[in-house]
Amino acid sequence: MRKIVNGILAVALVAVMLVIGGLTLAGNARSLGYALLVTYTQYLEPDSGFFGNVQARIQSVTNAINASLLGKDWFRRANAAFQLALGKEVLSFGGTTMVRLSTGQLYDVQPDYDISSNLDTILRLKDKLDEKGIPMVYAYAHSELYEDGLLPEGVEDYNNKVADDIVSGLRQAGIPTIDSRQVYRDHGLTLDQAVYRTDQHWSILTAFTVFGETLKALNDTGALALDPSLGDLDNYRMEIVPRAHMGDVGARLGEGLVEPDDFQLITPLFPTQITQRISRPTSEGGGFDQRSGSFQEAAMYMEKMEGEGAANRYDTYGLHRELTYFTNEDAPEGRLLILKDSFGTPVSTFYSLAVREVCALDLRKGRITAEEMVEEFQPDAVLVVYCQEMMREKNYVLVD
Amino acid sequence: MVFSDSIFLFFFLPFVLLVYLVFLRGRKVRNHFLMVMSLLFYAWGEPWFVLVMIASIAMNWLAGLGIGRYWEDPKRKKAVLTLSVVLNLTLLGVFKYLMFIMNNLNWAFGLHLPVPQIALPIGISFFTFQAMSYVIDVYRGKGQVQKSFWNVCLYVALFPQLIAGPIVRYETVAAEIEDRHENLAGFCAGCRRFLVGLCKKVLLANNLAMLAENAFGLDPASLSAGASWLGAIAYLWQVYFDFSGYSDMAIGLGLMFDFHFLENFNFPMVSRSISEFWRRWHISLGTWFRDYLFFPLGGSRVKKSRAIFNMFVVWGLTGLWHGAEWAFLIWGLSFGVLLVLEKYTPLGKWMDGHWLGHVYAMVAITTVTVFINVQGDLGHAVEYIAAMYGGGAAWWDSTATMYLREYGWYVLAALIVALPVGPFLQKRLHIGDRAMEAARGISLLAGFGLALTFIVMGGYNPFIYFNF
Repeated sequence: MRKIVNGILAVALVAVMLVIGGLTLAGNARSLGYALLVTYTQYLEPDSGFFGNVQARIQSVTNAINASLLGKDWFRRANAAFQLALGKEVLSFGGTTMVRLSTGQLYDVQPDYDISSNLDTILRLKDKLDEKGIPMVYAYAHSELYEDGLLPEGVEDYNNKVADDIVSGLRQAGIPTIDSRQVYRDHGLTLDQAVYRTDQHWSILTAFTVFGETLKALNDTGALALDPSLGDLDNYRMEIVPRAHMGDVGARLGEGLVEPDDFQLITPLFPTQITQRISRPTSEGGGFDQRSGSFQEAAMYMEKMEGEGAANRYDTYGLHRELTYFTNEDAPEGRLLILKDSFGTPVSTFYSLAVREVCALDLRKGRITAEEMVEEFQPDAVLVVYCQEMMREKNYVLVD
Repeated sequence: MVFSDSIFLFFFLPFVLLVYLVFLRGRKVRNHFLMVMSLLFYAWGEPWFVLVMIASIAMNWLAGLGIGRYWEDPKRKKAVLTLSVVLNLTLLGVFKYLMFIMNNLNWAFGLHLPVPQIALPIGISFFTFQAMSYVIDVYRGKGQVQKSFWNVCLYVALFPQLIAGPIVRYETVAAEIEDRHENLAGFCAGCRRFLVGLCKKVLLANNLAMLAENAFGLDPASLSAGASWLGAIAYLWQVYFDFSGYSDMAIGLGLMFDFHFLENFNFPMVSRSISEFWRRWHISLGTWFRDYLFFPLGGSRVKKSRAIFNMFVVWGLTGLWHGAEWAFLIWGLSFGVLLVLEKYTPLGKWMDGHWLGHVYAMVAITTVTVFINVQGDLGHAVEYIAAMYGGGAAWWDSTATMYLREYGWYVLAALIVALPVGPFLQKRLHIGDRAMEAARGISLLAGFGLALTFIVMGGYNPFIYFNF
């Protein structure tokens, strides 16, 4: 009997190894070759010698293989189902630990963090802008935890505490700061409206509402004369597309375990004519793509709404690329530089309606600094739309 | 590369097995292929360290040849042995202990000597001890001198046991390097053993690691006794399943190529004393220190004071072998103190025959093991242990409840696997051998399926013994 069991186990092991390994290689030969021969450079340390070069190629291939393993999504969902079946509310997903909120959403618990040094780089940028007479407005984008009592018992989280530190630090430095948590309360948004279940991002409605608040704040600086009615939802059509959005977080679980979100599609009721120039990633050869037309045609990516069932629809309101330029000849004259992360992408897109020239810079995607961009673009004002993550370890170079 | 990651499981291992078993014939060719793949396996983590390992192997190969050459000349033979031991320890000293020594010299004498920042080659303690075993066994006549450098290289670098043991003695596998007979039954038995280890590592060690990491990451003053105990128990069991799982996988991989490594663990959690625990835990290290250090020092058949001294030398070095930090030294010496108490007071004998012995052994081991999970911060270790014994925030709190809610199933599964529950149930419930075997097979298949979901997903996969 033992020999039979051993044989069955050996067949199972060998079959799994050969099927997953073989089909992964066969299906991704091109991308793995690309990782070995081209993209390994992003893992190269400065002044790498022969062994450093080998190490970078190993790292590149390892990551490429791990990202493209056969059935990765299926195994991830099966794992999530297993963890949920155990009654776990703290779930582990490939190196990250998330908790299941009482809303059903998965949430990445935030440890305490001293943001003072990262805050300091924002203040240094403000000083540089002050020297040039350019005002700065900061919109703090909070993620997920807008209400108390959402966390499971025993889980400690510092998301709100660190958010308080950021907002108070910015305000003490004299930077007009919009706190999305306050916007959420002032505008009476419900949790369902403001936050996705399946995504760490704020909803399009929250992004739009914050856009409206920043319009007022930028007008208050006197550097731009923007139309505050652009922040009024009455001037837009809001269509709720039911069960259309499945964000990255929900995709880890699959529709069997989490319901897709309704997606808010907000489009202007007034005529628009916009041109967008957006940078291509260097892995696609660099350069820019350009599109012109109405807000929906030029600034939005309506094609992201196509297709049946739930998918990630957040990109309908813009792509997360290093540089995005909007030109709107019908908008009041002015140049606005937006420093943004993925939370800031839809806000930038809405700004294509409000200012003649907008440049949105995502420092995560390239090597240009904010200070260099200010020199190049010569904005009348700077708007920063960052979530907390950008003020934690992932703060990017603002000033040299 | 770690056995439980996707690169090894889906690419490296099937490639090696396919080429080795299907395409290659002849012992020499197979050995050379296995050796090259073992070097690649090692180089995958840090390519240049492979040169350090090859240098170590070359030095010990030459020492073996030297001992063979001066076989009839005891003085010269001993000189070669001494030189090789000094060189091996120097290599280990430079890469593993130099920073520790310099930091402590600076601290003790107020000096400002430069402290070189030297990266630690993976598994250096394992391959150095193994290479020393080759020279010492040849010196003692327990193994033949290997004229072939490649065979010594294969013995030391053989990937199944390379970076985390078990420490395979040369005498154990000397004959198998040149004369072994791969066969289907051995291969299948190896696959089974590999799966046992994989499940232990991926399902138990990695999940318990998350509990331990959470508990040790909190301020001990804010921890309740319940939460700190759960964290400490989870860490001890993480180490156990991590290392015994790795040993199972190593033994299983060895069987696939018809190498027979000795067992490294034997249900250590059933121990009723510290001395029993160390007879059941990391057996290859314990016997290495016993045979190559404790006995040459005189063992326990000397004056009582000298025997106690010998024990402290061995346990101090056992601690430092695990890591170049005071915390590891204290960890090792703590075991030394407990072992001396057991050996030279009535306590040991009494515990050995009493169920309270289990409680004493587990409480003592869990407590002492806290020292090796504080990254050298002794203050943290003391505060953590204080929290375990009531010096923390409370006896029980919501964090402890959360740990039980989140990891209770894993703790229960760990208990079942760590203790000989299977044979116990079989006896009590009169289950037949065939039914028991089928149940084991089904459990392993299910465990493998679950483990795959963690591996492919890229789950949390720390590896404690990697740096030893």
